[in-house]
Amino acid sequence: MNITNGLYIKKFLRRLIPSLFTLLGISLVSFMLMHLAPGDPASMMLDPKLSLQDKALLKHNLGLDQPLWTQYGHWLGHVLRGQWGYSYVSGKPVLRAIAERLPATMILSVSSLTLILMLTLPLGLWSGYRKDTGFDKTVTLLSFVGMAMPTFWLGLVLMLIFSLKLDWLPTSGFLEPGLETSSFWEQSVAIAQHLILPLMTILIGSLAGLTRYYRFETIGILTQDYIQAARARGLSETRILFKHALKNAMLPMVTLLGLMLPELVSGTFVIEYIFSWPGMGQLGISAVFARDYPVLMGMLMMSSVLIIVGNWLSDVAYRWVDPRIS
Amino acid sequence: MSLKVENLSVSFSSGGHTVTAVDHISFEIPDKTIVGLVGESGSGKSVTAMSVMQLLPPQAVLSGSILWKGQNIMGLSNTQLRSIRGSEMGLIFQNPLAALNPVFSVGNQMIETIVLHQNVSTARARDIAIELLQKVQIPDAALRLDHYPHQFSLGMCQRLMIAITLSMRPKLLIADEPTASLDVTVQAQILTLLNDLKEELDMSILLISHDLGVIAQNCDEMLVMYLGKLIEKGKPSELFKHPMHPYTQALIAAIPSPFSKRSEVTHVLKGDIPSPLHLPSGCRFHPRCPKAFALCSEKEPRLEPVCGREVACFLATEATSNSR
Amino acid sequence: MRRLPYLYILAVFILSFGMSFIPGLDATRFDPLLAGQPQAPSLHHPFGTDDLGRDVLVRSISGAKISLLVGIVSVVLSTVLGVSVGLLCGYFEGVTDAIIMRLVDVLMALPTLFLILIIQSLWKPSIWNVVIVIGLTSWMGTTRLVRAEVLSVKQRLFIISAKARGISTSRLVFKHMLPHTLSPVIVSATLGVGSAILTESVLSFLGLGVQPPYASWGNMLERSVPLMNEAPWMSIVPGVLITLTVLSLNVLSDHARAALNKKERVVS
Ligand SMILES: Nc1ncnc2c1ncn2[C@@H]1O[C@H](COP(=O)(O)OP(=O)(O)OP(=O)(O)O)[C@@H](O)[C@H]1O
Ligand SMILES: [Mg+2]
Repeated sequence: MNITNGLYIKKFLRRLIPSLFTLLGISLVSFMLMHLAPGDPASMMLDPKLSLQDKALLKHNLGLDQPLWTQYGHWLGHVLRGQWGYSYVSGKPVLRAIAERLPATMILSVSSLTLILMLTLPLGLWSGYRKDTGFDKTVTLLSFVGMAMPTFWLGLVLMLIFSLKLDWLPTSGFLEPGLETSSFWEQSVAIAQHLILPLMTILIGSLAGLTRYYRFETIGILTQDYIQAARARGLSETRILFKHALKNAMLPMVTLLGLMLPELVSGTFVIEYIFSWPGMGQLGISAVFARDYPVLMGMLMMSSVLIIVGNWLSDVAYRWVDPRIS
Repeated sequence: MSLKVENLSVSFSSGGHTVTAVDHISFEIPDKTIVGLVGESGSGKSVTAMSVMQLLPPQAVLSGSILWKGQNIMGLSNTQLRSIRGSEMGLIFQNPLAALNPVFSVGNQMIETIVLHQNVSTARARDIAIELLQKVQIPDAALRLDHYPHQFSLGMCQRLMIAITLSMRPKLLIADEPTASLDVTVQAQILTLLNDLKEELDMSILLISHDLGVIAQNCDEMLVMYLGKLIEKGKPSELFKHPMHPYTQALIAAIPSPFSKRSEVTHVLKGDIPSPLHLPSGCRFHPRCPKAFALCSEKEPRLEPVCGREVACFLATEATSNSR
Repeated sequence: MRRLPYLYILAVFILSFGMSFIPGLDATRFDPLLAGQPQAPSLHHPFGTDDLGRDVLVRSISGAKISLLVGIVSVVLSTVLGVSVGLLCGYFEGVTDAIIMRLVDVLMALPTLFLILIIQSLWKPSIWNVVIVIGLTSWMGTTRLVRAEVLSVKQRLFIISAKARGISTSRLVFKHMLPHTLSPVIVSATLGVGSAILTESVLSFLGLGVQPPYASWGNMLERSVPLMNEAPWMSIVPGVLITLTVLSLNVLSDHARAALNKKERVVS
């Protein structure tokens, strides 16, 4: 028991340490980005009406006159102690400002990821299985179009059709102002209504690429001996496709999802912004406009952590699906 | 008559080239018999096996007919073939490692098959699977059931493949080199097992092998294939005693006996098997045949009955017509 | 049907770059009589006008030039950067390689679009900044590709000949490496043009890319948002154009991949 625990810890560390280095690199990149930018963003937080002398004094007090490396060290020290600074806009501590946005982002990303997985698998499999039929051609055409459409524009068009013209769904937001105190059920329904459009937008954008990839994968897998062997055993085509081919096709998918994560994250940011979905992305993009540097730094670090953890999870998932890797 | 193959041809075309892997072959496998199929590598044995199961890839072009219990199964869809595959005809794949799905445990694949064909509960299927693994000499069967294909050696995979196929209790077993990577003792045990099961289940077997010894000991009938053609067929005892086709003669002469010297064995067949892309004119064997004469490069000999067997060689047919 | 994407791209090229030579077609010119009220498509303005009375068709064509320019130049930048860094890493290996590959890991773990947004907000947004930023944030994939290829070619050559025959490894690496890496690089570059055009459109849409009065598909979309209900053509025309352009480029890249695959199979 102890030995296996030790092994797990060793494996864990072997993954953790490079990730920590990557995070350190990310912090360095983002810090330098903010501090080397023209207009010295770090000092922009100072009141422009201050006299030069006062400015210098304040800069000194804030440590802004020290060499960049020292500043970075200070900043890192604070970050490690959980002091990420305060938002210029709302005055809230950065970590709290981000944490407040977490639930909305989670609702959107978990539901979209689940649906992506649930839909691309059968779509890609079936389209690869029925290669060159009408179904396959339709799926291929749609995925090409889906990959080429700017996602934010798709969001606008959906908004135009379903909220402005048909008036079926709310244009944007999360929860109507009057509903904060109503029952959990009422709130859920309202949130779900607001969720539909952003969710659809993300789905159409990401389904396309993955389905297409999956189709290729399936076509390759279906020529394998073990598929023919399964046929030789008289297994049904459904079972062959949705058990034997599916699990094999899942292998690269897992890695791919991990690789797509950075794009997925920033794509979701823009969607959140367009639909005023009060998640991390909306916070991030508003912070871009407001030049809210502490929040931007926090967002960069946080989303990178999310991406690294996501990659990690996809790795674990890979090991879990592929018995050949122990 | 359980299986009757008539005029079967299979060709593959890719990038402007056409390879005819099997060329107008006909044979029968009566009930409760073991038919052996021999030939060099690339002669079309596996393609023949796969066509009987209708498992060739879509780019293969087939013609002729394959009658199973009187019904032509050529060109039936996968769904229509389901009732035949497995329960009626079982196939032991030549490459056992590739024929097992790498991401499911061996037990999973066995149990799935047993549940489908023997109509039993999963728990019962597991017991049956363990019994079968024991029968094919896999130690620690109960434990090994949960292992994945890559955790087995090639020889073990071959035995797993045999066990899975036998679990379906087919009426016709097509065994493509079932004992190729097994050592002699295990090989003997597996062949005994096949023979026992043949008796128990009234099974007939198409046994494909490089090993003429295996064919001689087990088969009731033997087919010799060269570059997609059947060139001689008959009872193994007679073929061994008195091979008529020079190719069969060469094959039999090439059987290594423990006491023969190396040099005696290897000189028998000169040259490599020609590329199926550029088939020789006339008799396909004539460039390598020690007894070839003018006619051989001009005309292709047909498979014709000669003294209780069939041979495709001018020498054999002429000799008999002369003696008549 | 198969030629359609090629014809489309060609048409967009000719129209957008040829337009500058036709007098009277000015994307920034607006009709004071029409200003304030976007006009629906009509014979005179086939795609309608925007709220400043500017012709949407003329602006779209002029926007095409910017989109293609941004797409192509930034991909050239990222490909050159990616290939040279990849060559460097694969050729020298060792410490340089380790450090650069770590940097690649870091950059690949960043949400690229968000990073670009931040950089654009820090620096003054302009067309050239867009090009540079997209170029500098999208070379990592190419680098990994080229590096892996160089390493494998090196290993193969090492085993086969270099040592035995005393031929300089560097010459062989460059002679054999380029044809090998070229095809995946070409395929990923054509895909890259499409995705750069998409990125530019997001940036301009958020006001962080091409600035008015220059027209770009992205900033046309930005302008269309408040008027989406009254003047949907303002939003539909540029959106459809982006989609068609990226779609055609992706189809081109797909064809290139298929053709190169076939060639490779014949060669080997
Ligand atoms: N899928 C395919 N596509 C193209 N050609 C094929 C295909 N499968 C088999 N062939 C060709 O058919 C011929 C016969 O192959 P086959 O596998 O039947 O030989 P074999 O007698 O089983 O040989 P071995 O003893 O090595 O197993 C070969 O020339 C082979 O190249
Ligand atoms: Mg074979």
